[in-house]
Amino acid sequence: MSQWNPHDRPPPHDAPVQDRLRRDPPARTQPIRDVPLIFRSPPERRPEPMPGPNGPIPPNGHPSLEAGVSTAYRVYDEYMRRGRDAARGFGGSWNEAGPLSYGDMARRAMRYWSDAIGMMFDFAGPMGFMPQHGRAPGSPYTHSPYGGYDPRAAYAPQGRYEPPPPYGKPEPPAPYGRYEPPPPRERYEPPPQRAHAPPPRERYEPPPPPWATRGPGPAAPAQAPRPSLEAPELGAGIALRFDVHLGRAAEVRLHLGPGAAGKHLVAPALAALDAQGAPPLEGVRFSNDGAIGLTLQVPPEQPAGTYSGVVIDEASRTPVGRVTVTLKA
Amino acid sequence: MAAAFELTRPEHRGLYDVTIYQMGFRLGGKGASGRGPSGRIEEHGLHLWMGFYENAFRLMRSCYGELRRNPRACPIATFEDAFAPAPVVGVTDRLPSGAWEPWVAHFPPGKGLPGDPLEERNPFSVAGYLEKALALVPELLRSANAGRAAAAWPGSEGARRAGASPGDVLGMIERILRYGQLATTAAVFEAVDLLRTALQSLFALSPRDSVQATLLRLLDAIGAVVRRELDALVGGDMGLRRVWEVVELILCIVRGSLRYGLAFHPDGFDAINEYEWSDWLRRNGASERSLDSGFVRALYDLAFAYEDGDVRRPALAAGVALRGALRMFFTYRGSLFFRMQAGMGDIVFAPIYEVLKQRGAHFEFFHRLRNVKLSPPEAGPAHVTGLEFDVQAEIVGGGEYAPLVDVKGLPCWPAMADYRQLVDGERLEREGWAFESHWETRRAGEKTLRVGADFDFVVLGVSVGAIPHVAPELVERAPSWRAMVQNVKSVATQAFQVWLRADARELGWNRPGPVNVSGFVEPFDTWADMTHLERVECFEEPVRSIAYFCSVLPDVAPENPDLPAIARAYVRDNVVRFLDWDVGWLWPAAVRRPGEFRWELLVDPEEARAGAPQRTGAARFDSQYWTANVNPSDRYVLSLPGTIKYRISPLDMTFDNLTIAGDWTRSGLDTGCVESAVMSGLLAAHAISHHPPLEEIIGYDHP
Repeated sequence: MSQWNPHDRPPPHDAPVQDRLRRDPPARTQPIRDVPLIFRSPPERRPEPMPGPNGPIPPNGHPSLEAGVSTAYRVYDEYMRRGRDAARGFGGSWNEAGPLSYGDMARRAMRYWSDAIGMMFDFAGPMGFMPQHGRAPGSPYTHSPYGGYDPRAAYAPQGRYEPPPPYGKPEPPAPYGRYEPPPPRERYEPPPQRAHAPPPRERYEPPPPPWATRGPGPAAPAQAPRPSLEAPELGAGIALRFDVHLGRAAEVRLHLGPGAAGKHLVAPALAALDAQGAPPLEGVRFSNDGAIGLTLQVPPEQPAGTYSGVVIDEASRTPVGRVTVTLKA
Repeated sequence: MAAAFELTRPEHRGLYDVTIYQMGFRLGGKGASGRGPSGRIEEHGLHLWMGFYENAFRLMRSCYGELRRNPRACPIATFEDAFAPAPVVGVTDRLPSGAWEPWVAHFPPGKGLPGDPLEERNPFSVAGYLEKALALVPELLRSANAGRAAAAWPGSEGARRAGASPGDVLGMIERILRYGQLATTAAVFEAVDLLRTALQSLFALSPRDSVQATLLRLLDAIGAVVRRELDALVGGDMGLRRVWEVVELILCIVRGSLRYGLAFHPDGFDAINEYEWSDWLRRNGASERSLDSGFVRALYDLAFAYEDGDVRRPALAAGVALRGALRMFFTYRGSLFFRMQAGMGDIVFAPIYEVLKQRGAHFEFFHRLRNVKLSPPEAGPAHVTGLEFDVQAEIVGGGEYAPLVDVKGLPCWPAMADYRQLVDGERLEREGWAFESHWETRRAGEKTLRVGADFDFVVLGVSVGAIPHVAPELVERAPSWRAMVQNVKSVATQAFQVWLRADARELGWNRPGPVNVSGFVEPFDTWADMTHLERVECFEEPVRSIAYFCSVLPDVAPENPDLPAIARAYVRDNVVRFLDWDVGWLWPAAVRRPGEFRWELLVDPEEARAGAPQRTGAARFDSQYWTANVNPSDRYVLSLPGTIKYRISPLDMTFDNLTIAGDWTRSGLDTGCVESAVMSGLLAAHAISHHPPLEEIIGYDHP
C-alpha cells in the first residue's frame, strides 16, 4: 500500500457536483478490547531510514518489523486453527458455541506470546531497530513542544501501517444470563411530576456537632505503588550469558523486552504448557553483572514438554519478557 | 470542536475547508458557559476534568500552544494557567442517625501531567489494574488499623516472594485456608499479599482452573473477614467502616474479574455491560452496606446515572463503570481532578474558537439545524444531500458574528447574544428571542446547503437528545440509528451557583479544601468549592466564596414550549428547600436553625450598585444563578446497562459522507464526559481524513 498523502485528493470544492466525495472506509470501526489483540494492534510507525553521508542506505535484505509481526499473527492463527481442529477431532472443549476454558485461553495466549514476541525480536534485532521505552521514533507524541500530539510527525514521510491479514478471533463465551434489574434503593423520593408541589422530604435535624469532637477523616487512601519509570538506556543492547545444566536435549528460548536492560530479573517457576500434571520447572535464575546471565537447572525426572514463564523486573514487579524451555523426551 | 481542530491542522494544508454551523451565539453545547452580571461565570453545571482525560488535555495543550497568548496581556495565557489540580475529594455518608457526614481524602499527585507522552504505548491491562487495586488494600487496612492498639503489622513480603514459585504461593494459600478463617488481621495481610503474588502468576503463568478456584476461595476468606468487620462496625466508627467498605469493593472487583474472565475476554469490560454496576458488584459479594456507601453513590452522581432523572433508579452499565473507575483511580496523572480557572467556555471553547479562526475556519452562528436530507433509497449508497437550517438572525452588514467579550483581559463568551450585531437586534431583544431554546421557532430566514456545492462531508455534532429533532430522515432510514435513539437515553440536569459573603470555613466547613463532594443528599448530590473563580469575575462587593451544586433533574413536564419555565421554577424551589434544610450538613454556620438559611450571606450584584438591600429572605436567591437543562441538546447522555451496544461509532459507514461526534457515540470510553467527546471528535476526524491514527487515541483500545 502506498504512503498516505492527504494532498493526493483533489480539493473538495474543485470536484464536480455529480462526483461527490465519499469517505474511505476506516480499517476498523470498533475499539480493540481483547487484551492479546490490543498488543496485536498496529506497531508504531518508524521513520524512513535517514540517508547517510553517502546517500540512502541500501536495503539490507532483512524483512521489516511489520512483516515479522504479520508472520507472528499468522502463527497465532495457525495455533488457533489447529487447536480448533484438534478439539473437534477429540470432541474436546473447544466448540464453536461453547466458551473457552480459562486455562485453554491462557495457554494459547502464552503460546502466541512466546512465538509472536520471539519473531518480533528475531526480525527486529538484526535490523538494529528495537522499540524504545516510550514513544517510538517518529511518533507524533514525541516531538510536540507541549508534550501532545504533533501531527508534523504523523505526516512525516514514513511507511504507512499495513493491516495484518485477517485473523481468527476466539469465540465469545456464552451469554452470562439475563440481566435482572436491581431492586430500587432507598434514597431520596422525588416529588411527583408536577412543578411547585414537592412532597415532604426527609428533614434535616439539628446537626449534632459531628465534627467538633473528631479529627479529620481517616487517612487518605494511599496511591498504589507505581512501577519504576526510569528511562532505560535507550539503544543499549542486552548482553546475555547462558549457563544451562541439562543432561538431555532441550531448547531454551528467552525473549526480553528493552525494559529488561540493566534490571535485576527474576523468573517464577515455569508452568507446563502441554505436559498434563507435570510439576513446574524450577531452577531458573538470573544474574546481572553487566551481562544478563541465565542459569537453568533441570532435574532429571522432569517430564518432557514445554514450560514457559514470565520474566519479571524485581524492582517494579512488571513483566519484561518470557522464558520458554522445551524438554525432549 | 475536536473534529474541527483536527481537520484544520496546518499539516493538512487547508485541504479541509471547515465551516461550523452553530445554533445561537456560543459554542460548547452543554459545556458552554457565559458571563452574566458582574462578569460572573454561568455554567450549565459543574465541570471538573479528571486526570485521566489524556486526549482532552492533549488537545487543550496543543490549542494553548498554538494560540501563543501574551501572558502580560491575558490572565490565562497558557495551559498551566488554565487548569489547576483539585486533589481534595469527598464523599458523604448517611449515618444511622440520619445525619450526613463527609469523608474527605487528599489524593496524591500522579507522576507527570495528562497529555504528557505516555511511557508505554498501551498501559492498560486488567492484570495491571488488579495488581494496583490489591496494592491499595494493605494500605487501607493499615489506615483502618491506625486507631487500634495492636502489634506491629507485618510489612509486605512481596519482595521476598518475588522468586517464589506458583507452587510455593499456592501452598502458602492452602495453609492459610486450612485454618478455616482468617482470625487475625495479620492473617488478612498475609492473605492479601499472597493474593497479589498469585494474581501476578495467574495472569502471567499457568491459570489452571484449580488455581482460579483456590484464589476464589482465598477471596471468599478475606471477604468473610471484611463482612465480619463491617458487621461489628454497625453504628460504630464511620471512618473504619468506610475503609472496610472500600476493601470489600476492591475484593468484589477482583473476584468478578476472575469469575467473568475479564482478563482474556475478547470484549474486555464490555462483556459485563449487560449488568447493572451495583448488581454486578452484588453478584460478586458486595454487601448492601457497601453498595449504599458514599463511594458507590458518588460514582453514580458523577455520571448522573439515574434513569429518567429518578434517583430511586440508579443505572450504570457495569463494564463502563468498571473501566471508568479503574482509569479514574489508577491512571490519573498530575491530579485526580483538575479545576478550570475560568468558565468552561472561557477556558476551552474560546481558545479553540480563536485557533480555528486563525486557521481559516468559518463560523455561522444563529443557524438552527432543522433537517439532514438524505439521498433517495433507490439512488445507491445512502448519503446526505442537503442540510436545512433556520437562520435565527441576520448579522448587520452580512459579516461574521463576533461572539467574544473581554472580561479582565480574558476573551469570554457572554451569557446573552450581542443584539447590536444583529439586524433588528433591538426588536429581537425586546421580544425576548431565545436563540438557544429548542422551542424557539421564530427565525429571520432559511438556508439549505447542498452536497457538492456547499459541502462534501458532514460532522453531526449535536447531542443524542436532539437527533430525532434534527435528523429524522436518518432515524427513519437506518435501523441502527433507530435502535440508537430508542435505547441510548439521556437525562435532564439541574444546577445552581451561589456567591457568598463568607468563606468555606466561616460557613462551617471544617475539613480540607477546596473540595468537591459527591454522594450528598438529593436533590443536589454534588458540591464543588469554586472560590478560585472570584479573581476572574468583576463583583463590586467582595465575594468570599463561590459554590456550585448540581444533580439530575426528573422529567417534570412533557416536552413542550412550557417546559423550560416550569422546570426553572421547579429547580428554584429545589434550591430554596435545599439551602434551608440540607446544606447545613456541609455548612452548619450557614443556617440559623434547620429550615432557616442565612439568605443575607448571598452577594447580590445589584445591591452594591444600588447601595441598598434589594431583596430579603429567600427572594435574595433570585440574584444568584440556576439552570434547568431541559433542552434536548443540553441533556446528559446515560450509559445504561444493555444499551452500550446500540451506540454508533463515528467510524460507522452507514452514510458515506456523514459522521457523528459527541460523548453519546461509541467513543471507546462510552460515558458522558469531555474525554468521551474529544475521543469521539478524533474518531470523526479519522473517519474523514484517516488521521489521527486510531492507535494514537489514548484509551480507545482498552479492555
